[in-house]
Formats: sequence, C-alpha cells, structure tokens
Amino acid sequence: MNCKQLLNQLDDYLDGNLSGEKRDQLELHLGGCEDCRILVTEAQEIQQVLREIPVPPMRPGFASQAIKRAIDHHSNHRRGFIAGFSSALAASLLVALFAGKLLPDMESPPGPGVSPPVVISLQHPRTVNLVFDVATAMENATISIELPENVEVPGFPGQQLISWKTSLQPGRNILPLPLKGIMHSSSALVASVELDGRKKSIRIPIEVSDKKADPQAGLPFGHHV
Amino acid sequence: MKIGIFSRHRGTGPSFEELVTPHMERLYRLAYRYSGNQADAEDLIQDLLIKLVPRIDELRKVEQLYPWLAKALYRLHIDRFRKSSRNPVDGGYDDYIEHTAGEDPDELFPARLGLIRDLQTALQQLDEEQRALIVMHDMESYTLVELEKILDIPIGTLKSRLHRSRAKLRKLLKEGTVSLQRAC
Repeated sequence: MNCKQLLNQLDDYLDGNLSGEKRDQLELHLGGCEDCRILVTEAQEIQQVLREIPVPPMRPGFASQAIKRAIDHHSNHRRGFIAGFSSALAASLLVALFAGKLLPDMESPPGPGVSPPVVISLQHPRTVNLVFDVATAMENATISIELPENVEVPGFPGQQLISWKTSLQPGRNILPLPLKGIMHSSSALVASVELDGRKKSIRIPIEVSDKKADPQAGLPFGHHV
Repeated sequence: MKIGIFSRHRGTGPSFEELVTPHMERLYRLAYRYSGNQADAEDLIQDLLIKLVPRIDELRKVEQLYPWLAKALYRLHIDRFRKSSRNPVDGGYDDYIEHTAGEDPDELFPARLGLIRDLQTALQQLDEEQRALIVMHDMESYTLVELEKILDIPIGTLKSRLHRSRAKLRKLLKEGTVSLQRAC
C-alpha cells in the first residue's frame, strides 16, 4: 500500500469498516511511513473530539411546550372563523356534520342557514361522520347522541341515548356514527359535548326515506354549537 | 362496547403529540448541533413542529418516523441557512462547553477545551451541507445507511462527500486553527 491508497481508505479505517486484510496492509504501511502515521493519528483524534463535544440536554418541559405552541399556532388560525362565541367552550369547539365521505379539506367554515337533512334508508345503514373540531385538547369530555325514534345505531336496538366519555385532541376528531332507519319520517338527531358543566349541542336533521341519498348534496354544511 | 368507533383515535390515528414526542430528544440534539446554541436549536425545532402540524395525516402513514423527521429538520435547517445567507452559527456557540468543563475536572475538559473550540471554528468554515454531514455521521454517529434514508443521497455519494468534508476539516485545522498537541 502506498500513501495515496492509504488516503483513499482512510475514512473506512477511521470508521472501522476495513476488512482484516486491508486493515493489516494499511497498518503495515503506517509502521513505515511517519507522514501517514501523523495523518492518521490526527484524523483519529479529530474523530474522537468530535464525538466528545457535548450537547446539553433538552430543557425540561421544552418538548411539550413546543408541541403545544405548534398546535395552538394552527388552532388560532382556525379559531378565526368561529370567533364571536361567548363561552370558552363555544370558542374552542366546532361540530360539523358531513354525510357520506369526508371532504378532503374541511378547513372552510360551515355555511349559514339550515342544513339539509341527512337521508337514511330503511334498508341500508349509513355512516355519518361527526367532526368535532376543537382548538385545544378536551380531556374527559362527555359525548352524547340523542337518537330520534325513526333511527337507531346498529347494535343498540331501542336505545335512544348513547353517552360516553372521551378525550378530544386539538384539531379534527372524526366520529363515524352508523345509523339505520327504522320508520319513514323526518326528525332530528342531537349530538352534544359536555365538559366541566358546559354543554354544547348540535341538531342534525334526519330524514328516513327510500329515496337515494346523495352524499355530496348540500356539502359542505355544518353547525356551530 | 360496540360503539368503540368513537374512540378518539379511531379514524384519525395517534395525535400529533404522540407521534413526535418520542423523537424530540434526538431531534433536539441534531438541531443543537446544527445551530450551536440552545436558543437557535429551540427556534429550529419550534419552526419544524409548526410546519408539521398540518401534515399530521402524512406523519401517520410514515412507517419509520424518525428518519422522516430528521430529513424534515435537515431540509428546514438548510432552507433557513440559504434564506438567511449567513452561517447559522454566526450567533455563536453557547457556553455550555465551558459550563460542562467546570463540572468534572476528571473529564477531558478543560484540557481539550481549546481543541474543541478550534474544531467548532473550523466546522463553521465548512459549507452547510458538509457540516451537516459531519454533524450527523461523526458527531451523532448516524450510519451511512441511515443517512441514505435521511438525506436521500446514495451511499457512494455520501462517502465521497464525507471524505471531502473530513479532508477540508483537517486542512482547516492544519492551517493553524488548532495545534493537536495541545490536546495531549
């Protein structure tokens, strides 16, 4: 091995990636070449010192603070279009209903006026997606679904009130709600979120009919609560 | 309860916090290495998180998240460097090294303190991509296989760049930035 060949293999040697035979050849050359010996010694020392340069530990609490700030940064943008509600809960909560498939972008604010009813047939259960868009995390929130007489949730026959506790994450929380029509009529489903004694509800018109539901009809629509 | 579809993660997956928290310490180390001081490192991490929040659906689909995050951090760092047209460590290295040196006299510090400072000075004179490569490979011990994923650069190219980066670093030190004997 000559000096040029050693230089070409220096990185592999420093990183311990040279095979035994090549390493032996390189070290044999080092034994007889002072210039290369100095080069390798200095390079090894640089590598060692680079690894020794310390990094201070992350400041306690920084990770969670930074994550919260990042989420809040975007939540504050969203909050812009639901401003004007008096209570903190109202200001931080938007419940929107999207029938059928979710829209790819639900950042746009819900339109004003009365939403068209969700059409459900007697024959086929249909999933409607409740979108709880909250600005900040809501731990142990109680979600309630009050079902009208003309629909039921498959698996809960005859049960008109379904309630449970959950935690809502900042941003969109999608709750797919399967619904099955049991008699022809028009009515309304009420979805509520309750936290710390404050309750907000959304009334969702439901129409049980055999006419074909158009999942895109009237979308996007939603409700502030 | 059959209505488990209402689980908070159902349909949305893990939260942003759950996704990134396990990787924060490693990301911070990289950010600190890139920027040289705590304030700039925290600023870089904060910027990264703000950019990532709207991409949560994308994050949820990534199988190996850390390399993906490290790549995003690297690109952000390079972008900031190019936009600012300044060396990102112009703000200077903080005094953490001196602080550490005083804590444990049995450690290599302060015997090597001068050498470390000289190395940091030399590192600042590398171009940013060379410096990032030295940071990730030689200081944070990422393997070339890992860096191939993080940087989207073939291993052969990485080896060539690493070779040139190290040679330049040695040259800068040789030009009088440092006397290695000082460390002995």
